[in-house]
Amino acid sequence: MKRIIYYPGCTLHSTAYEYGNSTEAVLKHLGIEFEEIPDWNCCGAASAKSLNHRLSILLPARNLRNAADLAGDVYVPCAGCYNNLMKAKKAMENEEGREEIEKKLGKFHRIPEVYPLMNLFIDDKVLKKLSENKLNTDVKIACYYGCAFLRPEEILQNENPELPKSIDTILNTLGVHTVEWPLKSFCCGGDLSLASSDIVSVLVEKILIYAIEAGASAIVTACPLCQANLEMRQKTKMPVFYFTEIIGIALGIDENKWWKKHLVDPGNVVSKLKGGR
Amino acid sequence: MKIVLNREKLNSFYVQTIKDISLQKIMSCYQCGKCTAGCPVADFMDVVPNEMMRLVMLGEIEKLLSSKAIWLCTSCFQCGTRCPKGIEVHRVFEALRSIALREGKNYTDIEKLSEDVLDEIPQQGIIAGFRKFESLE
Ligand code: SF4
Ligand code: SF4
Repeated sequence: MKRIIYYPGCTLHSTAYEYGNSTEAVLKHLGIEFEEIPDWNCCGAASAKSLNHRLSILLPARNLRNAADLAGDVYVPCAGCYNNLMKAKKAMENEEGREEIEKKLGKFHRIPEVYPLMNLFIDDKVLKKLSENKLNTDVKIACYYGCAFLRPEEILQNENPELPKSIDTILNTLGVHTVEWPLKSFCCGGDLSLASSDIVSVLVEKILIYAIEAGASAIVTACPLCQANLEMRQKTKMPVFYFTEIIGIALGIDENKWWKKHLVDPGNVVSKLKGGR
Repeated sequence: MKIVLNREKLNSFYVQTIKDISLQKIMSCYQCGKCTAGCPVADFMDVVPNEMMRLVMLGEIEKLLSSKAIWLCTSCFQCGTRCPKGIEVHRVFEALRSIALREGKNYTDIEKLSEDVLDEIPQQGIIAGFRKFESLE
C-alpha cells in the first residue's frame, strides 16, 4: 500500500509498549510497509534543550541523516520526538545551519519529510480502508492532542494548533463518535511532574471534568507523556487510549497485553467499543 | 506598587541578556492579556505571563528572577500561539529561568524528593524536571 520510515523513539519500546505494539500491528494489518531508521538514537527528549543547544539539534539531526539513506517519509508516533526532529529539520533549512550540522554528522543527500504518525492514517487511501472496518458503538470519545504535536506552530505546521482534528477524523471514520470539548490542546502539565505535582493533578482533573461534561467515556491521545500522566493522576478512572489501539480494536487485532499496560482498566470501554462483535 | 521608569534599567545587562536568549521583540507587547488567558498555570503564578512581559518592559528583572512563576511555566507554548503580536512569550520565561539557574537559584531540590514521588512520576516528567536542574553547570 505505502512504504514509510518509522522512528519509534525510546518510549515506544519501553513505557509506551502498548502504543508501539499496537502501531506495528495496525501497520502490518493495513499492508503499510515500515522500516525503522537504521541505528537510531534518542531524540534528546527534554534533557538536552537547556543543557546544550547544539546537542539538542545534533541528536535528532543524526536520526534524519540515517533516515535519508532509506526511501520515503519519516513518521513519528511520539509527540516529543516529532517536535525535536522538526526542530532539527528547521535548523537545516538555512545554508549556515546545514553546514554546521553536516560538519559534525557528514553530508545529507536529502532531508526527509517528517510527519506525526496520525497523518499517515488521514491519507485518503488509508481512510478508505479504515472505513471498511466500522465499529458499531455508542461510546463517545474525547480526542486529546496536548502540546508537542501542535506547538510551536511555526516549526510544526501539521495541523491547526487551535483546532486540531486528525485523531477525530480517524475515529469518526471508524464509526466512533467524538465530542466537541474545550481542552483538546490544553497542557496536561506532564513536564511539571517533578517541580509541582500538586498543580499537575489540578490540570489533569480539569481535563477529565471537561471530557466527562462533554459526554465522553474515554480519552484518546497520541502522546505517551499525556497518556501516562492522565491515567496516573486522575481520580475519575476514565481510560486513556492511544489512537492506534482503537484502530486495532476496529481491525479486530487488539490484544490483552495492551490493556494490561494501562493504569486505568479499559476493559469496560473496550467491550462497549466492540459492540456485539 | 510604584515603579520609577528610567533608561538605565531599560538597558540593563539583565534586559539585554533576556533579549539575547529569547530573541523576542519584547517592546512589541501591547498588554492585551491573551497569553495569560490561554496559560494553563496562570491561576498558580505569582506573576502571570502578561505581567511578566510588562515587568521586563519596565526593567524590573529581580522581581521576576525570584518569582515562583518562572518555575511553574510548563513550556506548553500556548502563550506564543495566541499572541497577536507574534511574541513567543514562553521564550522570555525560558530566558528568565536560564538566568536564574546560572545564578544558582533553583526550584526543585532533587535530593529531597522521596522514592515514592519518583516512583509515581512518568519518566518523561522526570527528564523534563532534570533539564531545569542540569542547566546549572
Ligand atoms: S499576548 Fe502578546 S501582546 Fe498580548 S499581553 Fe501577551 S505578550 Fe503582550
Ligand atoms: S508556555 Fe508557560 S507561560 Fe506560556 S502558556 Fe504555557 S505555561 Fe503559560
